[in-house]
Amino acid sequence: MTAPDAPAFTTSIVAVARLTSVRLMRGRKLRLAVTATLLVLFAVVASRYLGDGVQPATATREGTEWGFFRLLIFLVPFLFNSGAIAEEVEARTFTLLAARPASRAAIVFGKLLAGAAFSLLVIVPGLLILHVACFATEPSAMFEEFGGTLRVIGAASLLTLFYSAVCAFWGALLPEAAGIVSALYLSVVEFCFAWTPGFFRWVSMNYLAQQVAGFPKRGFLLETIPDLSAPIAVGVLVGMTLLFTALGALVVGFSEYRFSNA
Amino acid sequence: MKERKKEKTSDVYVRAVRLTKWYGKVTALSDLSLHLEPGIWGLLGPNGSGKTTFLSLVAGQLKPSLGEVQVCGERPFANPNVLRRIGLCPEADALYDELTGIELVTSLAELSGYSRKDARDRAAKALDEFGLTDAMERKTGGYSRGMRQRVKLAQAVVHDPDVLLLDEPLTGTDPTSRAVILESVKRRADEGAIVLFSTHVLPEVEALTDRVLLIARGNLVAKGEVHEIRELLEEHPHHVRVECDRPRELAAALMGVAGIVGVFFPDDTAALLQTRDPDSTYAAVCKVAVEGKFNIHSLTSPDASLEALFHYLVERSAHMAGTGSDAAAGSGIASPFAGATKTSSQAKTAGAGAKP
Repeated sequence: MTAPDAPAFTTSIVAVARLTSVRLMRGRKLRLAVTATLLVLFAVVASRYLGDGVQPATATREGTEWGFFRLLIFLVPFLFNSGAIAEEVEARTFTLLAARPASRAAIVFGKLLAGAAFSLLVIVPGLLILHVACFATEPSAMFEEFGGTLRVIGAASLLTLFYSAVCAFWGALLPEAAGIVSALYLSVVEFCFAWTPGFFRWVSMNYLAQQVAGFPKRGFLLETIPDLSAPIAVGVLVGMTLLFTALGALVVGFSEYRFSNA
Repeated sequence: MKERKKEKTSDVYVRAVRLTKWYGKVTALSDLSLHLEPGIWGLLGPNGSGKTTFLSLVAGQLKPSLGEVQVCGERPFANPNVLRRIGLCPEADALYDELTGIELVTSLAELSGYSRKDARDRAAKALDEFGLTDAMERKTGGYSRGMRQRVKLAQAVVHDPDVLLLDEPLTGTDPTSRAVILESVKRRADEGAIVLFSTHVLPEVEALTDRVLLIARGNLVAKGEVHEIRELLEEHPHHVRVECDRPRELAAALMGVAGIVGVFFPDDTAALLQTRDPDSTYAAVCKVAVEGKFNIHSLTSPDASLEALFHYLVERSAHMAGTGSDAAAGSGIASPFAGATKTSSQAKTAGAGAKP
C-alpha cells in the first residue's frame, strides 16, 4: 500500500476550487446569474437612452446603486455560495470530500474561493459593461468618470466576498435550511438595516460598501447616521469577511453532517 | 518477502473499544468492541442494523458518542493522517453528475495528495481496473447504477488505501462487474490491506472471505467464520412450510421424525413445521410424501436467511445478557474484542451485554 502524504493546505484549496468551478461552469446557476445581470443591464441602458434627458453619469450611478448594490449583489453570491456546503451535504457528496485527507478548512476555502470568483466574474464585468454602455455616446466622459466606477467596483467586490462568506457559513451551519437562512440574513440584516437611522445602519455591510463606493445616504433621519470614513469601512468589510470564513471553516471542521441511514 | 509484508502491515488495524453512537434517542451502535487485522472482513447485518454507522465511524465521518475507534493507531475523525490511509465507497448513490468519470476520480485523487498529472494517471488506471475505460470521458450523470457503483469503487482505491471500507459495494452491479469488483478487493487484501465489506447478503461475503462480523440492532452479535454462521443458521429453529393436498395427515405422519419440535397450520393447504434439523426434515418430508402419496405443491423455508439468524442471535444474546455474565460466559458467548484472537473452533457469538 502506497498512500501518499496528506496534500498541502494550498494544494487542497486549489483542487477543491477547481472541482467546484467545473461544476459551477456546467450547472444552471451561472446561466441564471448571467441572465439576471443582463436583465438589469438592459433595464438601465434602456432607461438611459429611452428616458427624457437622462445623463450618463446619473444612469450609471442609479443603475449601480439599485440594480447592483440592492439586487444583483445579493442574488449572485447567494446563488453561488449558499449551497456550497449545504447542497453537498444534502446530496451526500460531501462524504466524498470529507473522506479525503484534505483539511476540512481547505474544503471550505476552496469552495468559497470558487463561488466568490464566479460571483466576481459576473458582477465586475457587469459594472464595466454598464459604465461603457451608459457613456457610449460620450467617450471623453467615459474616461473621466472611470475612476469613480473603479471605486464602485472595489466596493462591490468587497461586498461580494463578504456575502459569499456569509452564505457559505449559513450553508455549513444549517445545511437543511441554507437557502432560507441565508436569504433571511441578507434581507433583514443587510437590506433592511441599510435603511435604519443612527448607528443601526452600521450593522449592514451593504451600507458600508455604499459609503466606500461614494453613494449618497438614503432613507430617513439621515442626520442621525454618523459618518464613517472609507478606510474604516473597508477594514470592517474585510474583517467581517474573514470572520465569517473562519466561522464556516470551524463549523465544517467539527460537523458530522449525518445524512445517512444507520 | 512475507516478513516484509508483515512488517509493512503491522500498524494496519482497526480497533473499536466500547464504541457507541446514538442519534438523538436512537442508538445506532451500542458498546461495540473489536480488533480487525489485514484481510477481508464481511460486515453482515440487516438494513438499519448499524453497518453504515460503524463504517462511517471508522471512515472518520462521524464521532463516537461513547467509546473510541482507532484506525492505524489514531482517531480518524477529520484526521488527515489517518484519512490518507482510508478508502471509502459510501452506500449512497451520490456522485458529481456534472463531472466525467475521469474528472471526478482525478479531483479526488488530487485531494489524496497526488499531483495533477499523477492523479489523472492513477484515476485512469483505477477506472480501467473497474472496466470504465470507455466511459471515463462521459459525465457520471449518464452512468447506469452499476457504472456509478464502479466509479465509487475506483475513487475509493485510487490512492491505494490500507483500510478499504465498502458499504454495500455490489448493489446494482451485474455478474461481470461483480467478478471484477471481487477480484480487485481480493487483490488489495492480499497486498496487506484491511477490507471491510458490508452487505446483507451472505453469499456475497462467502465469495470473498470466511471472516465475518454480524451486527444487528447496533450490537455485534457474532464474529467468526462463515461456516460458523452457516452452522448457526442450521442450528437455530427453522420453519419448513409444506403446501400439499392433505397437510394435517402429512403432519401426523411426520410427528415421529427427530428434530421436529412443532407443527402449525397457517391455512387449509399448508403445514408449518418447526425443526432443529432442517436437512433431516426435508428428507423426511420427501420420504413421507412418496410413501403416503401426498401431492406436494411446494416446500419452502421462510426463515433460512441471515435475517432470521440475526433475530435469533439478538434474542438469544438479549436472553443471555439478562441471565447474568456468568451464564453468558457459560453459554459460549465470547467478547467480540477477544474473539479476534480465538481459534475458529471457538464460538464467537457476542451478547449485547458482553464486555471486552
